[in-house]
Amino acid sequence: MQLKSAPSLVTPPNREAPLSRNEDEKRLFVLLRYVLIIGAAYLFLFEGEMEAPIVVITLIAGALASNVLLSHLPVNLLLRPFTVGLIVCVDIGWIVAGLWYQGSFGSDIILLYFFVLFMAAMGENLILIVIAAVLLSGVDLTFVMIPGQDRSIWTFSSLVRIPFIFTAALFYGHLTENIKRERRYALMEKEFAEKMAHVVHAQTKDLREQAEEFRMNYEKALETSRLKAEFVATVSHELRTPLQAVMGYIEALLDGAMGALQSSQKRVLDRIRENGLYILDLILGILDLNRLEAGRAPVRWEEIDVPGLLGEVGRMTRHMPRAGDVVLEFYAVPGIPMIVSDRDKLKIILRNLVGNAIKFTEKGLIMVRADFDPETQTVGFSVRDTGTGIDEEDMPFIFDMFWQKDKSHTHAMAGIGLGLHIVKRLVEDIVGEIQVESEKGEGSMFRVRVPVSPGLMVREPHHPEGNRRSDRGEL
Amino acid sequence: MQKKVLVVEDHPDTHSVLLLMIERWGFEVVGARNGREAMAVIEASDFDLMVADMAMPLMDGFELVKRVRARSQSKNTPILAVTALGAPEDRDRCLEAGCNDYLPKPFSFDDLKARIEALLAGK
Repeated sequence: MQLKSAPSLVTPPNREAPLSRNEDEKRLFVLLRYVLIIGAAYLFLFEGEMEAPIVVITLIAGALASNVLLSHLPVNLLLRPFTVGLIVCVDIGWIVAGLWYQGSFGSDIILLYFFVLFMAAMGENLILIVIAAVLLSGVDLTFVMIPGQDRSIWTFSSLVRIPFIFTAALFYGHLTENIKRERRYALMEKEFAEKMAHVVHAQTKDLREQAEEFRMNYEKALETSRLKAEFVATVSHELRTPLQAVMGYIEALLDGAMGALQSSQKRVLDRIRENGLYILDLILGILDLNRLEAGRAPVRWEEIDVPGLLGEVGRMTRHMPRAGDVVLEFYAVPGIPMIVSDRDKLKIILRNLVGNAIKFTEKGLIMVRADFDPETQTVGFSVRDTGTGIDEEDMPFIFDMFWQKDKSHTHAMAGIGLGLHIVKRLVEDIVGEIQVESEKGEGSMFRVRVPVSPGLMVREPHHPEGNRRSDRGEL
Repeated sequence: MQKKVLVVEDHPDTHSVLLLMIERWGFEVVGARNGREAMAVIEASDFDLMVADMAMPLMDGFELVKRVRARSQSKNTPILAVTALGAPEDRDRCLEAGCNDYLPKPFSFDDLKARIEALLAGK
C-alpha cells in the first residue's frame, strides 16, 4: 500500500549530546565565575588603600567557597534558569556590598558595573558586550577620572578596574549568550515539532482514509459474498422444487401409476431418472460447498449410532446411477460404540465418497465399511472400490477444488470436481483424518477416521503432521 | 381401516404426484395448497397423518404446525415435514415447530413411504 503523501524529510535540529554539552557548560560557568570573583577581589584589594579589611576578605572567601560548592552541584540543577538567576543576584549583592564597604570608589564604578549588567541583559553577543565594557571603562578612565586628578593613566590605580569590568562582561555576556542559544534551540525544536506534527497529522489522515476505504471495501466484499451465498441457496432451492416434481412423476410412471409400461418406455424413464439424480447430486454438492464457503456450516456435535448412520447413507446412495455390474455393500463391524460427531457432515462425506467410487467403477464391488479401533478410540469409515484407481502423479491434487482427472471416466457424467474437496474440508471440521490408497487398475480405498469423541483424536505415529499430510494421499 | 393422510403442498405438480403416490400406497388422501386450506380441511374432519411443505403462501408450514398442535384433537397427530430447505438447522426448526420427522426435497418415494409407515406405526 502506498501512502498518498511521501514521508517528508524532516530531521531533528542537530544538537550535540546534551549531557556532555551540559558538563562543558558547567565547567565554563564555574571557571568564568572564578575569574569574576578574582577580578572583583583584585579590584577590592588593590585599588585604594591596599588594605585588606576582614569584611571584604570574608566576602571574597565566601564567594570562592560558594563557587567550589557550585562546581559539585549536578549539572541539571546548576544550569537551571532559576539557579543561574539566583547566583547572578547574589553576585551582584556581594560585589556591590564590597564596593560600598570599601568606600574608596566613586559611584562611577557601580554605574559601570550595572551598565555591564544592563548590556548583558539587552545584548546577546558576548564579544560585543566585552568590547563595549572595555571601551567604556577606557572612556571612564580617560575622561572622568583623569581630568579630576593630576596623574598619568598608567599609574592611576583605577587601571585595575579594567580586569574587573572585563571579567564581569565576560561572565554575564557568557550567560546571555547561553540563554540566546537555548532560545534558538528551543525555537528550532518547536519548529521541528510543528513540522513533525504536521507530517504525522497528514499521514494519520491518509491512513485513516485508507482504513476507512479498506473497511468499506471489506464490508462491500462481505455483503457481496453474503448475497452470492444467498443467491446460490435460492437458486438451489428453486432447482430442487421442480426437480422434486420431475423425479416424483418419473417414479410414479416407473411404479406403473399411469398404467403398465413397455420395456422401451421403462428404459427411457430409467435414463431420465438417472440424469435427474445426477442433477440432484450436483445441486447438493453446490449447496454443501456454498454453506462451507459462507461459513454457515458449523459443526453440530451429537451422539451417533454408526450402523444406523451407515443405513441412512445406504438409503441415500442406493439410487445413485451406477454401472450394471457394480454391487454396493454396507457393513458395520459389530461392537462400534456410540460416537460424538456431526451426523450431517458424516453423511455428506460418505455420500460423496460413495458417489466418487460409483463414478470410477465399471464392475465389481463398492464396499462401505465401518469399524472401531479401541487403541486409538477412533471409528474408521472406509469406501473401497474396484475401479480405475488413481495415478500416483494425481495424488497431490485429488482434494483440490474443481480438480478433475479428465473427462474420460468410466461414467459418462464426470461431475464438477467438488466432491473430494468438500470431503476434505468436512473431515477437517470434525477433527478426523482421511487417507487414500490406490493402485492403478485395481481400485481405490478412501478411509476416514473420526474420534469417538472430538477431544480424543490421536494421530497415528507415522503421520506426525496430522491429517494435512495424510489427506494429500500418502500411501 | 384406511388411514387418512393430509397433504399440504403449494407446488401444483408436486402436490399432484404426492396425492397420486400416497393414494397408490393404499391411504385415503386429502390435499391442501397452503396452511389456510389445510386448516379448513382439519376443521371439517379428522386425519391420521399430515405431510406438510414448510414454505407456502398465505400460511406457511410452521404456522400451520403450531395451529394443528394447538387443537386438542390433533395434538399428537404425526406430522412429516417435506421441504426444500435442506440445511441441518432447517431440520431443527421443523422439529422444534412440532413436526415428528423431516424429509428434505427432493426425496424418493421409497423414503417417503418408509417415513409415513414408520410414523403411523408410532415409531
